[in-house]
Amino acid sequence: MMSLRKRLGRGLMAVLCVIFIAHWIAADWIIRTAAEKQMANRLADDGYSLLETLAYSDNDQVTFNNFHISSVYDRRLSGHYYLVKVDTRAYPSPSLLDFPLAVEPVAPDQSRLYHLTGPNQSPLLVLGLGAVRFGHRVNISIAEDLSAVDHDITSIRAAYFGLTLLILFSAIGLLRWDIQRSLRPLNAVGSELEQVTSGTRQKIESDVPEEIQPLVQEINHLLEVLARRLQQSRTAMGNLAHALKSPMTLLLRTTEDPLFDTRIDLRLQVNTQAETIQRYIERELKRARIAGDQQASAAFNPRQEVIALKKTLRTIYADKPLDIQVTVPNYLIHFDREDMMEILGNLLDNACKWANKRIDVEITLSDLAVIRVADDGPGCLTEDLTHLTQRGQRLDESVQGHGLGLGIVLDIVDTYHGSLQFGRSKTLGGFLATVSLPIRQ
Amino acid sequence: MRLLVIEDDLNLSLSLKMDLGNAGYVVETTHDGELGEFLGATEHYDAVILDLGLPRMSGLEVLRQWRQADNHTPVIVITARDAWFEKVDGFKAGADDYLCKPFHPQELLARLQAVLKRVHNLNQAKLRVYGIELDEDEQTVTVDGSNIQELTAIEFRLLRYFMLNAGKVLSKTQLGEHVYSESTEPDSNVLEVYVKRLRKIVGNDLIHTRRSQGYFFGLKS
Repeated sequence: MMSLRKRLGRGLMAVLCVIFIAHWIAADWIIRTAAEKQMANRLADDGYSLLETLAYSDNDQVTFNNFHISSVYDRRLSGHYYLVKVDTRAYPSPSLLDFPLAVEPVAPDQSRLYHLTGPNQSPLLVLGLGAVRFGHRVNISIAEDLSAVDHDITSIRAAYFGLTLLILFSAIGLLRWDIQRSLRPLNAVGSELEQVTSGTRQKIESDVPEEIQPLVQEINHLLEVLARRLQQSRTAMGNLAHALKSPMTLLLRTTEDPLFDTRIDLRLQVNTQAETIQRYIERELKRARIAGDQQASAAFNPRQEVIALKKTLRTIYADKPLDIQVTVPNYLIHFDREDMMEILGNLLDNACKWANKRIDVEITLSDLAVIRVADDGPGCLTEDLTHLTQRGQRLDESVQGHGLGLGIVLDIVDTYHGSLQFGRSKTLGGFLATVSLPIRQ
Repeated sequence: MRLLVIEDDLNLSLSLKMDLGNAGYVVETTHDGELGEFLGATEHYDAVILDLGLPRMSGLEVLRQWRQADNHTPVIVITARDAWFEKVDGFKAGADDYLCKPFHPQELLARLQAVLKRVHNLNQAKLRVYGIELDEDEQTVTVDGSNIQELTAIEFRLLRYFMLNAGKVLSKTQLGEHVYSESTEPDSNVLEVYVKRLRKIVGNDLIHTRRSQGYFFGLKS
């Protein structure tokens, strides 16, 4: 669908163009009419002056004289003409030079304004006056060449057209700017929605115009519902998984029963199946636990947590002399502590499993939180590395040792739209896992 | 060996009692956090098996109260909660080991033995040379009992290497191995920079430059 800005822009532009064209036509008509009206007044003056000079002569004739009107009527083809008709006799002005002016007859006491073509194809404005004097019908037609006026009108018209265009374009420009300005809140909402998708925001908070307020409210409501559903299903999943654990322990214990000593195959089978179930529970439970949002998370100090994790791992791997070195910022950051600990715990646990002696943990914070965990173990072959990062791979089943842990790290990283890379450590020579996560500043 | 098992699941508790009993331990059980806390505080046990989800007082709280009261009985936490932050919280509260349900009884026995053995020969996490005390867990140093100072990974590694090899001349190549990290490129100046920083921390009298040989950590004879 066409963008709202284009749609509004085009509509307004079309409307503006129509209005301005209509306006220009009307203005043009008014200018022309005004000019002709003024000319007609002058013609009427001259016409009535002629009418007043009409006199009755002895031989039953009506005469007139043109002393009272301008001498311009005497100059040849001056553009000012008259034609006086008394009954059927016509008395043209000297300026007409015998040009047959096809005047229209006018009823007595009436006047009429019309256009004619005069000498040299010049356009004429003609005023016809009708009268009855001394028993004779008199028709006086006064004409004036419109060429000069037309010329003036054309230049006025052009100037006015230019002005109209200028106003039209500036109006379009202003409207465009205004549309852009008015649509700005929509853009703000759009970018907030993007943040919602990427998990750095939980709801749309910007101030929006009334028209889209209901839409934003609805989206916020949906987001809330979604969050609640997610929470419910997570809780349900967690409860189920926790509830299953004690019975699972008892089940495993049952296989230790001496009765099974005679049926070692059965014991093995039960054990294998129980372990499979346990792995599924584990994976789903951990997945369900991923918070995946930074909005609600309280701040924590990564250094303190990593040091605590280091102590934990040294206890768990008490039989292995491990040298775990930590380079982590010592200030509060906003990130879900549980997710961060799960990533670090799994990567470090993996490193502890494989390292000979040395492990390096490093967290750097800029636009991204980058976590690097390197060890001096055997590392991983290049082909296995690509295998590890393949999406949808059942890491827990396909790669022994780099098991469940890396799978859950990948799940968390995916939830945060981050990236997880594996490679070989330059300094320690073993496995290097690099996690990059976008963080909210 | 006398053990206390605090576990609210009666079936599991019974089976644990049987297994541990068969392995030669004297086992007492309780199903309640508060009572467990009381027993642990008043009776002497060689080790405690502690569940975290307990009625009336959570396992973590029980553990915290014991540790606050300077009760250092070894504790193995058994729990269905297996997220890393929960494990870390468990260790922070003072657990000696952390076993996630479901588990094989043999695994519990093995861990129990390991914990008991560890308690008898304590794992020393502090290194002391010439009045300088290095805490390996916290990555911190204390010079002549003054304030605790934090060290970066490289400073820590370098200082520990110096301290472990006090009195020996160490070549730049030997030391170089300890100053590179994932995000820095190897550079001959880096070592000198770190040595300078360490001198600032531990004082100028301890790290000496031996021209064309390397560095020497110790008091000048």
